Amino acid sequence: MSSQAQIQESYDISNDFYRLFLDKRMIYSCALFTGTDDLEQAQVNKLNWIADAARVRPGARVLDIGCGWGGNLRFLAETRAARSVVGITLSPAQYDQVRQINLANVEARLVSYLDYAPEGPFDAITSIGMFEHIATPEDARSGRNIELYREYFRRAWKWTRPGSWFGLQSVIGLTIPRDPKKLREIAFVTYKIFPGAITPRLEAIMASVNPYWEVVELQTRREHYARTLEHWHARFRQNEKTVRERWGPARFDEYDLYLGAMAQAFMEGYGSLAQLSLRRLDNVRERPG
Amino acid sequence: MSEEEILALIREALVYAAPDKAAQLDRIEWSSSLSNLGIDSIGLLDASSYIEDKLAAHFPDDKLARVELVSDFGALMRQHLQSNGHQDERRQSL
Repeated sequence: MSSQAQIQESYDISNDFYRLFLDKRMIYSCALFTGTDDLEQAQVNKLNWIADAARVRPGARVLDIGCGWGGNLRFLAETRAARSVVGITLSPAQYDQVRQINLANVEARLVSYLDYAPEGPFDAITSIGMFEHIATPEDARSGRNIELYREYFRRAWKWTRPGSWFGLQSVIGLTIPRDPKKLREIAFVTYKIFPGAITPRLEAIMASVNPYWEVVELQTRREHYARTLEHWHARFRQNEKTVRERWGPARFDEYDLYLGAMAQAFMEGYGSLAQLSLRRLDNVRERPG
Repeated sequence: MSEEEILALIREALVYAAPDKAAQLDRIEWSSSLSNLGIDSIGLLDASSYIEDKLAAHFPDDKLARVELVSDFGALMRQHLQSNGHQDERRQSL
């Protein structure tokens, strides 16, 4: 699991900084460009896909693991009419922003999923772009990652009622580049932009859902992440002057390289994006709660 | 390829990946640990890429991720050479 200090390196530069390149809801994950080239609409498409995958119905109580700046929480409460929406994050800056959402049925907790104890069971779980933080590169190398992923799915199972569904989105690794330049770019993003995180391989997700969840639907969205990153990169470059003035030239160069290299990496097939709809397996012989 | 040739190619690949460590890489054995030799995960991939070029191979990422010893590299190469043995013979006869 990425430590809180590592999470802060990735998400706590400043809320204003991420606002310069993300959409207005501040959704920092792959959007869904079906029928649109507009980033705002594509992010709404993605939130709808995930809410559908989790079968979020009006009146539902929903948990969002890794809630970012709360864009999905607000969407679930306002657009999908969830009765109660809880988001957990390890980023203090994100937590502060989520607490400013002025909706009685939205709450946030500054806590790791490993320490979280819900007050009551949920009807649905969503988790967008958090799975990448469960295992470290060292865990993946030693093979410990599968058990860490399984523990995440076990907790999600324990926190939900029978009949629940889970909408999950994660970047997945496809193949490691051999070209030394591309290899170093991906290593830079892994170790400098998202320290303590590693993209899972799809087979690792598939192996670790067992015995708690059934994979009902799987979509891969490689081109959509390339397009999302191209949008972010273009917006970031439009704000070059502001970034250089407020955060310094080194920070501009770092994010310019990261956003450009990752757009390329998705385009060329080194990474992809998985969206899964999971149904809770209610016959597991463990006690929920 | 003989065992000696496989070991020599691994040595060559590691020197390519970490030229500053050439002196100690001269003395590698099958039981040598790559991390003890100062080869990190990027170095491992650079070395793999060198070997893959020479053998016209592409090792699966999950197997590469588990390479810790020089002998693990050797096992990957042998596996590739065996599964491509027929093709290599044909190529040699042309």
